[in-house]
Amino acid sequence: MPWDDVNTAPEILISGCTPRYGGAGRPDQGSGLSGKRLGGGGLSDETWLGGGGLGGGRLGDGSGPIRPTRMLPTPSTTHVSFDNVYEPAEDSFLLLDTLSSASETAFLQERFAQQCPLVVEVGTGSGVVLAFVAANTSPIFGHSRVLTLGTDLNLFACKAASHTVQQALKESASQSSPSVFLEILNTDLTGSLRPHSVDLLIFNPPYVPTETIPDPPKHGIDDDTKSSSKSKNSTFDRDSQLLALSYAGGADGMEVTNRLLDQLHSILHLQRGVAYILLCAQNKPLKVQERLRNWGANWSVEVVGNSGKKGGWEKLQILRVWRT
Amino acid sequence: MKLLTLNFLTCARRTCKSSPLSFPLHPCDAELEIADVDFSLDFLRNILPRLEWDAMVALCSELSLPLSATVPAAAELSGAGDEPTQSAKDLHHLLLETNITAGKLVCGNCGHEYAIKEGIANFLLPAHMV
Ligand SMILES: C[S@@+](CC[C@H](N)C(=O)[O-])C[C@H]1O[C@@H](n2cnc3c(N)ncnc32)[C@H](O)[C@@H]1O
Ligand SMILES: [Zn+2]
Repeated sequence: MPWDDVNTAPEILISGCTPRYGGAGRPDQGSGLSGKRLGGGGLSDETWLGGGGLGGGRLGDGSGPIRPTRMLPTPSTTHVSFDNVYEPAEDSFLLLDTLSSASETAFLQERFAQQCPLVVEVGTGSGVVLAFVAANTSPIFGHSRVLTLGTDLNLFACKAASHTVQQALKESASQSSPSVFLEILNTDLTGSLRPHSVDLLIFNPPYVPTETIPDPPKHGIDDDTKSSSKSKNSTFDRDSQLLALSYAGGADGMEVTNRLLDQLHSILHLQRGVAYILLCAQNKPLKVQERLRNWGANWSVEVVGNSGKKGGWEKLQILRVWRT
Repeated sequence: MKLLTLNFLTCARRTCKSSPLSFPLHPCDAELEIADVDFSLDFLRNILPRLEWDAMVALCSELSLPLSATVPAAAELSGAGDEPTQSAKDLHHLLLETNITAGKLVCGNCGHEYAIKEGIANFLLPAHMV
């Protein structure tokens, strides 16, 4: 297991694609992975935030980029168990801020003015990003004729995200008529979606470079969700595996992202299709951009969000890839 | 799962994507449940052009639910003063308020069955089937 290897800790720190370990309000710190990893690496919370600026930036604590306070509410995820679902972190919040930025709302409003776009988030985790979009379609798209759908390999994430989106929709007072939330599908990437059906795709991938990627869970295939009949240990292993799935990106942290990029041609709408993809510095983002630029004149690529510079390089960035 | 979702779904197996038989997926042993959704005429009007109407008709007949064989014209959705017509309300009810909470979705090309449990559809494939 990667956690047991002390040497992997710095990598994880830099990239930021792990749950934040604020400690506050987490009664079971000690029993979870976080305790184990922090213990192994001997890192205090202070080192953690200092090293990666994880989750600190948005609060304006001086360690991160200066970003305006989010004007739109962040969906609540207090009902989610972060033992086996990715906890919203700086990467998640960068997506919220980018999707609601002036440049992106202008772009989306123009592109989807007359449409009823299908928004698909791949790998919803807690659902914080999809819920944000679903609850704020008026400010983002200029109207609420928007369909939202999510996917995740992790069944616990599917259930959590479904709850998060529905709750955010209920609480969103800003909408005259709410957008339509379809569902969260338990599937690999865009697995079961019809070709060219997706107007807007969002992906905050597992992007940490790792030696291997865990096998996908076999929910339903061997009924491993019946955890009550299993020992505490196997529940722990299963949860570790599910959390690993949320950050482990294989070589260059790009194995899962590359698979998704390859699917864009066949899944994005032939005229309107656009995707927002998050990358971290170790993904060699310049190389990724170059590769996408080689797709030809019918595609455009632009960096539309980043987490600010830290020690001379941008930790996280968001690419907008769209058909032109 | 809302019936509208089925308008966007196909078999997860790569080899099935190009076969017209893989769409729509066929509900089997479906348990249906109704859940309220706010009505929006604007939404209905704009979703119509996105629907694969024949597929939706086929689906509904498999579920013994009524859906007219032809797409309603935009004018049929509202009456005087933009009041929604009964057919608009029926369409809303069918697409957005009717949910499959349990059962299976079956691919017409390869026969693979995808389970729906507690409203969540499982499209994970064993490695040898991807
Ligand atoms: C970095 S987390 C992002 C979670 C959430 N979107 C957010 O921004 O907070 C990555 C998510 O992708 C999911 N995931 C990983 N590989 C996947 C795959 N092949 N298909 C679908 N989801 C995947 C993980 O289970 C996890 O929930
Ligand atoms: Zn099939």
